[in-house]
Amino acid sequence: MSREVQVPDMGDVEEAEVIEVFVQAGQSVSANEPLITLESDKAAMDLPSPFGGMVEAVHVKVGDMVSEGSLVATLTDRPEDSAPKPEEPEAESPPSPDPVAEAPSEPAVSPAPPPVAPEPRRLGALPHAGPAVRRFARELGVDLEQVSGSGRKGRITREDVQLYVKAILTRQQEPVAAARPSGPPVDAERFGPTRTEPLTRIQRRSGTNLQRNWQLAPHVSQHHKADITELDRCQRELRGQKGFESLTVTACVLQACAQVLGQFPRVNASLSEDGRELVVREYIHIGFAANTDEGLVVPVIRDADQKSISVLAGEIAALAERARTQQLTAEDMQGGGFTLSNLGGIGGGHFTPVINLPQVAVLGISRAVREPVCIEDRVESRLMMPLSLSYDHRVIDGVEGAQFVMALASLLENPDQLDWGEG
Amino acid sequence: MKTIDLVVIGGGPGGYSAAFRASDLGMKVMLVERFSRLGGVCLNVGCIPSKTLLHAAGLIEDAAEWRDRGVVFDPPKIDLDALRAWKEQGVSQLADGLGALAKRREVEVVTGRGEFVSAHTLAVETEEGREEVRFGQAVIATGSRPIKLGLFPDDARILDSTSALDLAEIPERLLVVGGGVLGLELATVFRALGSQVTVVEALDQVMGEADKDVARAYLKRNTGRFVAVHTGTQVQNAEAKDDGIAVQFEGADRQWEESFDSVLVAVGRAANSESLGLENAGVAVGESGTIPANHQQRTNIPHIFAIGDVTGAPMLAHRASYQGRLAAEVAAGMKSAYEARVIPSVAYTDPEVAWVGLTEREAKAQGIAYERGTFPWAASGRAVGTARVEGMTKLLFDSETKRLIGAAVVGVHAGELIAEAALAIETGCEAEDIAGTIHPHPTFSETLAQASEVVEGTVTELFLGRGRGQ
Ligand SMILES: Cc1cc2nc3c(=O)[nH]c(=O)nc-3n(C[C@H](O)[C@H](O)[C@H](O)COP(=O)(O)OP(=O)(O)OC[C@H]3O[C@@H](n4cnc5c(N)ncnc54)[C@H](O)[C@@H]3O)c2cc1C
Repeated sequence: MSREVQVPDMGDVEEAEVIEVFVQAGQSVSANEPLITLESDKAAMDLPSPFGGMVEAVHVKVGDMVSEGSLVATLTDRPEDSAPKPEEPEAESPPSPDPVAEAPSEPAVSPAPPPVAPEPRRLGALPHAGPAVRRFARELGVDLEQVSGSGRKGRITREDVQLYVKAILTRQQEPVAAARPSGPPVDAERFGPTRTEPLTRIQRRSGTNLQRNWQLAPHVSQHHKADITELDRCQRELRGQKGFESLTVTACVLQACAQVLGQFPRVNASLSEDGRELVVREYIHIGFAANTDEGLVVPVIRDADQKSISVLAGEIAALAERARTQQLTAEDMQGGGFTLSNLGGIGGGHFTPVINLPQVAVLGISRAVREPVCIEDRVESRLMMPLSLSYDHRVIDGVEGAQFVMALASLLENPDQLDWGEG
Repeated sequence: MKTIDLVVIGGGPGGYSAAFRASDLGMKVMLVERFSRLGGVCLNVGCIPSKTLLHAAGLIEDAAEWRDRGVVFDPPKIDLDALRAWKEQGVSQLADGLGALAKRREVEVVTGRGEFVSAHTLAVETEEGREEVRFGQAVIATGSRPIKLGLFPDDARILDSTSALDLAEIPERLLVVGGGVLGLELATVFRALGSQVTVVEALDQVMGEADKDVARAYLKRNTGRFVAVHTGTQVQNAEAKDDGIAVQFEGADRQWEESFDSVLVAVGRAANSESLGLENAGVAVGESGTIPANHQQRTNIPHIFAIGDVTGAPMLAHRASYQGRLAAEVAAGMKSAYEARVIPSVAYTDPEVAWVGLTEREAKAQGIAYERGTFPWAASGRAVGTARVEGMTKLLFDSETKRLIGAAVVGVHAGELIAEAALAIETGCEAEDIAGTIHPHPTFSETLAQASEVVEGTVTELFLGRGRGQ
């Protein structure tokens, strides 16, 4: 006998797209095994087979739009399915309200084997949680073995289970997108040979972070150019002198940023978790992006406002070296309130850096080039450095963004106002 | 044909708990019980009547014992009819209460015998005839019955727990076959009511599931009360004669014959899985007639559940009702499953014996390293004042994780005291947690804290040597 599987009532979802098909004709499936995955604008869900059988035909393909009642597949009975087996859903799904058509009254031939008790675990080493928390965890489908308890001696509390679920949910939101990072699947092989290269751990992790940050924060980028002719001159003078062995533009800009952040505390703030308050940092820690073979990392300079360019240059060089040799600790990369990204070594003009949430702003600097600049009525050749400030528009408005960039540029244009430090 | 959401077969503590919970969860429920009173074995011929009689037995023993302590009563007159009537009225009161609860919940109670016709049809034979109902899901809660041994003759003087609780008469010489919880409880009742009681047990220890030291503590008070407790001894033969039942025993090193006025057989219980039409529904039956069920109480037929005694050991009412509520929740679509880690056992003997979790024997067999804290009641002020120093409280802690993994209590109210240990195991308490919980003084419950302090080395009611517990 063949039976049809149709798309069930999907609640308030009218139409959904078939994004994955797990079965093909001739294959055998058991009850509850997923047949296809549907994705609506709300969520993705698997459509499990309501009964077991042999797949006779699959009526949908990836990309099809389906709605309630659409034909998904036709299944035929396998010999072992023809025994009068009740069709009540398996474990933990709600019962069908009505009895199914009556089973024949002759004895059932081969019902499922009797349930076997699982291997008992050592009583004293089971997850440290009381009956109420165990039940709560079961309702949410949480495996308590995976939850770390915050209570005395690792006892798992209800809050621990909640936090665990929250963490999973946030993590899942990333992979939801990350699961299909390339958008609609295209078979690139069809157009020519391809090869695959694994992403590094850092690339994978920063990928999900970048995606999250880009989606969560409404980015606005303010572009400007700072005249660093003077700054460049000072730098040349000092470079190589004692205390300025590792002097770079990054160190100078970082010092300038530290000063300007002191004037614009909102740029050194974060949104509170519930989005109702601003958490303003009363310290100035600035991260700077460093490229490594494995990918991008962002070590953090602490109390940058209290350090001279000379000191900053030394610290930046040391941290960059540790980044290259992959010796940075997690602590080295924590606590930043603002980030600086310097693409000057490569060239290119303005770009749009991505904010490193929960920070609210990031500054990108590009290679300075000599340009004709009108100063009063004269045209002069000046060294101009592109500045790109991306800020979270929920926290910083356009006026403040522009003011920040202008203040920064003005500081860079008046290098005597920077703290160069002693050699 | 009538159609219902859930049919429950058997009205014992498992069955009525399942029916009531399912109804509270919004299901249309039918409860089929072959007897006109709900409550099953537990209420009608088990837990409740036996505990009523054990209470009477305790009064008799206490009164006699306090004679030497300046409280002198005349020897008791036992009015069996009045005692039986009191027991009956208690049972009726509780059964009526269950009937009323069923009515208020609109659980349809049908008096009749249920039998599956198919995986979705049950036939019920009532006094009016045979009726068939269609059900969405079913719960099998048909309980258990005493095992009969073929070697005993068919004779009115051969009793099982049910006929013994009827209290038809108090035999002068009673043999109790089976030194388990049930046998010893009834032995306690009959000895207090005046019988000379002999106990025979095939294993080398009474209360076979408990540790040896526990059984020994129990026997401390009972040697001398019973005529004899023959462990490691089998009944070879029993013959009904005019002047009694002649019983042949075979022990480790001797064989002998004795005559008794009555023999109470309490050697275990068998699951009621026959003549239920299980084969028509496709429900598999396992070893010795029990019905295997999974962690959600589902049988191999997922919409048919099995709970309580019919699923096997430990055959206890509190297990049955827990499983009953669980099955109802699962049937109603809740994500419930068997979460309990331990089930306490209690022998309501004199003294009571209770245990929960692992015994030392089990811990050793499983290769689990443990620390033991034993507190003898001789050091308990309350026990001394009440003249119940035979008791002891023993706690076992996992050496590695320090958590409580087992407990045993011998002594008055052991059945009440063990609940604290069960809670401590379920919630993962360590010795420090129990010792750090201030217990009221003077109580028997203090002994749980003190046994924990023995493990901690901080106990002051005993002297274990100086320089400990630092
Ligand atoms: C003397 C004695 C003392 C006990 N003391 C204790 C104690 O102190 N503590 C404790 O925890 N446990 C005690 N028990 C055990 C306890 O009684 C059982 O564990 C408990 O009753 C099991 O409950 P249940 O619902 O599984 O089955 P039961 O109580 O056995 O109920 C099953 C019911 O199903 C009915 N039934 C069977 N077949 C059918 C059918 N085909 N159709 C309709 N109805 C059917 C039976 O009539 C019965 O009423 C004692 C038992 C005995 C005998």
